[in-house]
Amino acid sequence: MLGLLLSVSASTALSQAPPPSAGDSKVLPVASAPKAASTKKPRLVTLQMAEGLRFDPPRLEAQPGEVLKFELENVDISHQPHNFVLVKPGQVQEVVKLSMEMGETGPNKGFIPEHPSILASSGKVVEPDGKVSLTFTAPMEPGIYGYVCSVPGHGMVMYGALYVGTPMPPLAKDLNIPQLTLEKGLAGGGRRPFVQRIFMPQSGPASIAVALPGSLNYCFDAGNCRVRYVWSGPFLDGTKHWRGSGKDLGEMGDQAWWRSTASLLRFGGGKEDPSIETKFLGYTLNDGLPEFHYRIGKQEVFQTVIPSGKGVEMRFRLPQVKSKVSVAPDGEGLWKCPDGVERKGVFEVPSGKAKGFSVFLERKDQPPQKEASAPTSKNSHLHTP
Amino acid sequence: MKIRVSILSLLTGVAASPIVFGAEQKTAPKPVVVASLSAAGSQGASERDVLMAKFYKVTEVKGPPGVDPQVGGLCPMPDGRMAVAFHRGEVAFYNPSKNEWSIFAEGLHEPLGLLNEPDGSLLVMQRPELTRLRDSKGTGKADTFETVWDGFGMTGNYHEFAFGPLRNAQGKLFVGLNLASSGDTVNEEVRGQWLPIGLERKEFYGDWKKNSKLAGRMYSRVPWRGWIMEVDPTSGKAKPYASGFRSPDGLGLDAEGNLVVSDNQGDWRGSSELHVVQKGGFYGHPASLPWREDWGKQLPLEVPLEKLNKLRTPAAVWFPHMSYANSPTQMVSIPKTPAWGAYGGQLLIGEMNVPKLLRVTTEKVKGVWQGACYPFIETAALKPGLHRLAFLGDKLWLGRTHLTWAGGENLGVVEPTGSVPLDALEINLTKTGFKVRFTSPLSASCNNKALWNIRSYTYAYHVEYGSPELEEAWITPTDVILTEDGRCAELIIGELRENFVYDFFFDKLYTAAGQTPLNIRAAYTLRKKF
Repeated sequence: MLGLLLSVSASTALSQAPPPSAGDSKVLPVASAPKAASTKKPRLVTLQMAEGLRFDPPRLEAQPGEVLKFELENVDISHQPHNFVLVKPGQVQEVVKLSMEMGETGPNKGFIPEHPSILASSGKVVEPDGKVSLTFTAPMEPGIYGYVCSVPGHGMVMYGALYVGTPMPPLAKDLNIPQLTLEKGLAGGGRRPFVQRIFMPQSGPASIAVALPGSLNYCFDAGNCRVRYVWSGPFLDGTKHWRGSGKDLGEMGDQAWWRSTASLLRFGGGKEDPSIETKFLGYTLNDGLPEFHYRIGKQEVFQTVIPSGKGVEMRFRLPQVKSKVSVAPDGEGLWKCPDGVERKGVFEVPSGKAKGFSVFLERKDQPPQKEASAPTSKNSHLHTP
Repeated sequence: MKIRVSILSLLTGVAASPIVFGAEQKTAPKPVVVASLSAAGSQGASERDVLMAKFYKVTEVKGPPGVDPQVGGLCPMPDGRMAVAFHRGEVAFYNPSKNEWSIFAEGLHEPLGLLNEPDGSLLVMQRPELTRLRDSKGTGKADTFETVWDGFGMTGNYHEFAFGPLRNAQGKLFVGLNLASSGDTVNEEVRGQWLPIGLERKEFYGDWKKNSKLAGRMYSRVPWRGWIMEVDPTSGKAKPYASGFRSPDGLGLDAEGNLVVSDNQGDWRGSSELHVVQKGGFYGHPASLPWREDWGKQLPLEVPLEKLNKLRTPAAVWFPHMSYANSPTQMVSIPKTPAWGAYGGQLLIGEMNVPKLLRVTTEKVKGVWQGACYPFIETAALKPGLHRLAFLGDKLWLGRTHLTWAGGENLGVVEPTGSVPLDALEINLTKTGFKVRFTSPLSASCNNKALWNIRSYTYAYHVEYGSPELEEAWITPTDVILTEDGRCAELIIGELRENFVYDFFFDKLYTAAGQTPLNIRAAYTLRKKF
């Protein structure tokens, strides 16, 4: 009645179709999809089983009667087995429930239950790094056919939808696919200011990314209590970190244009004492802007970073300071410290002003093409100035 | 009645390994697969789910819009709201009377525990630190993020989760720190002192596929990984409390206030476990040992098994893998209220892979903690991924997660309907066998010993991941004595074996009115005989 043609075979052949890129929430193109059943060569569709219990892409389109050849690829880096079960409209959760009731027969049957609503399946679990290809003819009856991984504990989260001869709603309003798949992990959803703790490239594991009003961003390292770097443009994409095991780092919207190598502040003389201990004490939010609180040795420091001209102003409060403070400019940038006196490249802030002073960091060279540069894809190999 | 029994035997058989239902099941109640029944009956809930619904009502609460609905922490608030921590760093309050969410804080790093304080602030355990969130301006949003304790190491390894905090009766806090996994290496920059014992640091940046085997399957190369720590919430000072943990996701207190910690099946964990944790104890996973003050330079993986066995306190309760739990989670104490009846005061624990909640009871025999676990509520309505549990009045809240493993999302709420099922309430060891108490009186004819089947087996303590069930034996009691009220059965067993699981099958029991047990199994871990 549905003209189902089903063949499942293990396959090592690479798909001819362009594979969807990880995190790409667009739908595979349906170019030249035939209008009705035909004996034409099947259209190749790559469907990945990805980390974080996801099908990628989360939804697909087909014409009634169209012959599709699925290349099911288990690319889950957390090494979970997955399966693929395509069902009649509205039957996903029923099949998930049945799969959980398979008892000891589950593993041998790939956790794929027997049920008339099942139109096609991988027939077995697709092991990590494994592939299974599957050819079938889309039903003639238009509708939204769900697909799901029915491995126990996966099906509540890991499902998608095959739209057969049915228009697809906008992605963000599609209730037939899991919402998690839709949400790209842009920290703060583009809001500024915003504070996000996450693993960051070229910083300690206790890092805090901050989006400032405007277009500047910085990374504060709570491990050694200093601003590690500043970058311009888009803030932070945490998709890989949040969807994956957590080992991936947050991805900055652009390369850092300034990096620190040590703490800016020196007490009692101007030389940096590498053995001096820092202690992170937290932060407060003022209209969303963080003021970091920490100790360098016994000295309590409050630090706010705000945008200023072509760079940032770092505002320091040291309520208990009793002597002068030295500010040692660091890394590439133009430095100003109106409250201090420059001596041999170091600003000396007298004790009278040390309770509250500012240091200004301006981007040194800002070639116009920089602004248009593409986001870095491999933040772990960022160019260090 | 018979049919119902066979369907119920499925309760504990979800995704059961062939080991559990292996060849030697001559007298075992064979689990029956109900898939065919449900298939014939179409859409409807399975018979098991229908039966469970007689006793427990499960409803669903969706997370706030736009928030990744994986729950890391739950905390009931005195004003009747529920505080919930989410995967990408939000903490939100849910007001059940208004069905409203309000976001309290954002941007935290993998928060995995929440605890309210008397002054209205909230403690949250995130990957890098224990933090106090405070709304100092009364805006309904946290504006102060005070670092209470960050004195532990981090390597950036994904498996270094941080759990807790739990508050004991004395006001001390406990947190649990995971080991790193050889599934990944460490970042270039780490926080905390690097332990020189073990694979050299530079090898962590070499060929990891090769070198990971030398690091140990799970490793602890920065301070307090694999430890339970005691933290003073005022001073922020922390003391090491107990070691030997692998992935202590669940920290709880039993009804007497003892600290209990769950851990997951894996290396040095033959099956998932529950420990009653005492100060200074070592609970089996050796990776954490070099952080002991008295430790020399010995590699944890080279410590002889006899020495480890002398050092360690074995788990009080094993959760038999697959048949009872795959990944047990957090424990909470069931409230002593009429709604929860005789279960009040017992421990409840969640499970990640299948939609199931278990109960746990413990007892001390000759100074040794041991006890039993009991499948309790198992219905598709719970959904898998039952990570965080909290009682708000009589309602049990469930927060689900999965990360990259099996699980679920959003929240569930469970309420007892008022009907009381026939359940094995508690198993205690006696000098001659076991005593089993039930929620309702058994029929007097249940003193027939042929109705009682027990399977015993043990698990290996070894470096390998998990353990098969070993030295299995089927036991039929030599005698069964029912108390006059029918609520308690004394089983006389011949030879009792220490360090064995006693896996009870109750499927043949019934009340005088013909009611059969809702859950048909319970597993007692016998560590010490009288």
